[in-house]
Amino acid sequence: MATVTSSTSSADCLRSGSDSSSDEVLLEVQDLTVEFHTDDGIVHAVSNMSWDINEGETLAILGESGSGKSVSVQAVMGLLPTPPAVIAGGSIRYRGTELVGASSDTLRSIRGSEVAMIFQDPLSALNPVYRVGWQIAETFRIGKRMSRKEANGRAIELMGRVGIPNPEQRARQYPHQFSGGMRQRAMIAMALALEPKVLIADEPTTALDVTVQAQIMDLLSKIQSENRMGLILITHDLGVVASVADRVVVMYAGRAVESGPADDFYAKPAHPYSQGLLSSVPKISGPTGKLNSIEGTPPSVIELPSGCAFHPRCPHSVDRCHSQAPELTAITDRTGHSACFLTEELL
Amino acid sequence: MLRYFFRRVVQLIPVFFITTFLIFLVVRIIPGDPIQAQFGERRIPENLRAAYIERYHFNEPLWKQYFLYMRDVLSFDLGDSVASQRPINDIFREAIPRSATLAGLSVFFVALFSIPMGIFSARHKNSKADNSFLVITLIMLAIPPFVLGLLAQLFFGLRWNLFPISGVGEGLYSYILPALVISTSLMAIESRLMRTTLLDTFREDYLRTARAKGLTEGRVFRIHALRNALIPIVTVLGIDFGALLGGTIVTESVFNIPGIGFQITRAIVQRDTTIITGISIFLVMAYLLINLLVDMIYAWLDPRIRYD
Repeated sequence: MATVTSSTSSADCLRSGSDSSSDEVLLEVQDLTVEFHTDDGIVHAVSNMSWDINEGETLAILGESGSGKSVSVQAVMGLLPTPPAVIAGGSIRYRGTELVGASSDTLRSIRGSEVAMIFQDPLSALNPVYRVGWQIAETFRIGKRMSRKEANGRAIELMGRVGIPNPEQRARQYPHQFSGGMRQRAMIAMALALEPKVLIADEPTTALDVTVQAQIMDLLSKIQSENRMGLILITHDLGVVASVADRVVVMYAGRAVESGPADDFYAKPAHPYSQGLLSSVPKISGPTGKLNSIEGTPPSVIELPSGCAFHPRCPHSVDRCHSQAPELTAITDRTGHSACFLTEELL
Repeated sequence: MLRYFFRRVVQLIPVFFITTFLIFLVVRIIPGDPIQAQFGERRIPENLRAAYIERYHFNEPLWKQYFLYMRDVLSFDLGDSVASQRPINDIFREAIPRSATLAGLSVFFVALFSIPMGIFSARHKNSKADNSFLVITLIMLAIPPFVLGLLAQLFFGLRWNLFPISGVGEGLYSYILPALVISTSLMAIESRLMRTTLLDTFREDYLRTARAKGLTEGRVFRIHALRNALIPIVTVLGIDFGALLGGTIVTESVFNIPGIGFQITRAIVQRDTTIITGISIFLVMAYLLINLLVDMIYAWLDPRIRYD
C-alpha cells in the first residue's frame, strides 16, 4: 500500500513495512500545521507534521514538553481550544473522512466511538463531582443510547476488565477516593467503552509511580492486541515505550525530526537530537559517571531559530544548518526517515 | 455525611457560647444606667428600681446573670422588653417572618439574576456585552442602598405607581421593591463570581475528557461545567441569606418594614437591652444554623468535602 510520492509530505515515510500491509490505515495525518495566535505572537506548535497509524499497531510520538506532540493529537480529536489554536494547514483523515474543517457533529461522531483518548493526569481528567461508575456509564448512555441500568452494568463489567478490584463497589466511589493507578484504569475503561479503533494515550504514565507505570503500560498493550486497535503513545519517557512501540516519531520544536521502526530507532538513532535523547536516558548497566544531556534548552516556539531548529544545540552543526531547514528524507539502507543533512555521515 | 454533620454540630457549641457571652458582656458594659434610660429625666421610685433589679438579676455577678439568662434562652424564653414590657417572643413572632421573607426574596432575586448573567458573560467573555456588563455591575455596587431605596420609592412607587413603598400591607408584593434594592449590590458581586468560576471550570481537564467521550457541547456545559461552577455560588447565596436576616437595617427603615432590622434600630434608640441582646443572640443562632445548612449543601454538592 505504500505509495512513494515526490511531494515533501512524509506521510508515506511512516507507513509500516509490508508485513502489516493487510491492515487498514486508520488515521492519516499529512502536513499538519497548528498555530496558536496569542498576544505575544504566533506560536508554531506543530509544523508540517505527518504520520499515520494502522490497525493493530503502536505508534510512539516522542519529544520534550513543548515539542508539539500533545497538540498534534488534540488536533486529531478536535479538542484544541479555537481560538487561540488554528489549524493552519494539512489534513487529518480518519478512514478516509477529512477531519480538518469538519462539522462539530462529524467530529463528535468520531470522538469516543472511533478515536478515544486518555490523559496525563487522571485526577484532573475525571469530573470530581460524579461517581466513577457514572462517568463510565455516561459514555454508554450517550454513545449507545443505553438505559441507565444497562449502562451501569456495562461500566462495572468494563472496570473489572481493566483490572479494578471490586468493581461494583468501586463504581460507586468518587475519583478522589481512587489511587493514581486505579484512576488511570478508570480512564482507560471510559476510553474503551465504545470500542474505538484508535486509542490515543497522552503521557498516560507520567503522573504515576514507577511500579504503576509498568502495570498501566502492560494493560494498554494487552488491550491493544486484544482489540487490534491502533495505539498512539505520546511520551517524553523513551524507556516507557521501548518494549511496546512498533514505530516512533521524534518531535523537536513542532517538527518531526526522525521516524521509523522502533527497533532501528532504539538500536541506532539517526538524527542528532534522537541520539542526544537516547544517550541521556540513564542506564542501569554500563559504566557509571556523569549523565549525558543535550546542551542548551529547547527553543521558544514563538521565535524559532533559523534553518534547522536544533542547530544551536547540535554538536555536529555545519554552516548549512544555520540557514536551511532539512526535510524529512529517507535514510539509505533502512526504512526510517530523518531530517538532517548529515544523517548518512553520522550513522 | 452523618459523621460530617455531627462534627459540624459539635463545633457550633463553643462558638455559640462564646459569641453569646460577648454579646451579653458588650450590652451590659455600655456606660449609663439601663433602668434610668427607660424613665428619661424623671426620677425612678426606689421600689420600682428594686423591682427592675430583682427581675433582671442586676445585683448578681455578671457570669451568673449570663448563666440565668442563657437558661431562659435555651428554654426559648427571651424575657420581656425593658421598654414596652411586651414578651420578646411576641415581637420576634412578628418580626422574623418579615425579615426572612425579605431576605429570602432578595436571595431569590440575586440567584435569578446572577446565575444566568454570569453564564452569559462567561460564554461571551470579553465581548462588548460582557464589557458593558462589567461597567453596569460597578455602578450597581457604587450606589449606596439608601439612595437606591429612595430612588426606587420615587420612581417605581410615586411616579409610576407600580409598587407600594411603605409597610407590609400588600403581602409579598410589598417586599418586591425593598428586596430588589437589597439584592442590587449582591447581584453585581455574584454575577461576577459566577462568571469567574465558570471561566475557571472551562479550563478544567475533565471538560476535555467529556468532549473526548463524544458528548455534545450542550451536555458538556450543562452536566460537566455548570454542575461544578454552581458549587461556590450556591454556598455564597446561603451565606447571604444568613447575613441578610439581620443586615437589612437601612432598607427596612427606608421601606418601613417592621422586621428584625427595624426592631433592633428601635431597641438601640430606646436602650432596650433585653431586645438588643435577644435579637443579637437570635442572629448568631440563625447565622450559625444557616451556615451549618450551607455546609451540608456544599458537602452534598461536592463529594470531596463529604468523604474527607
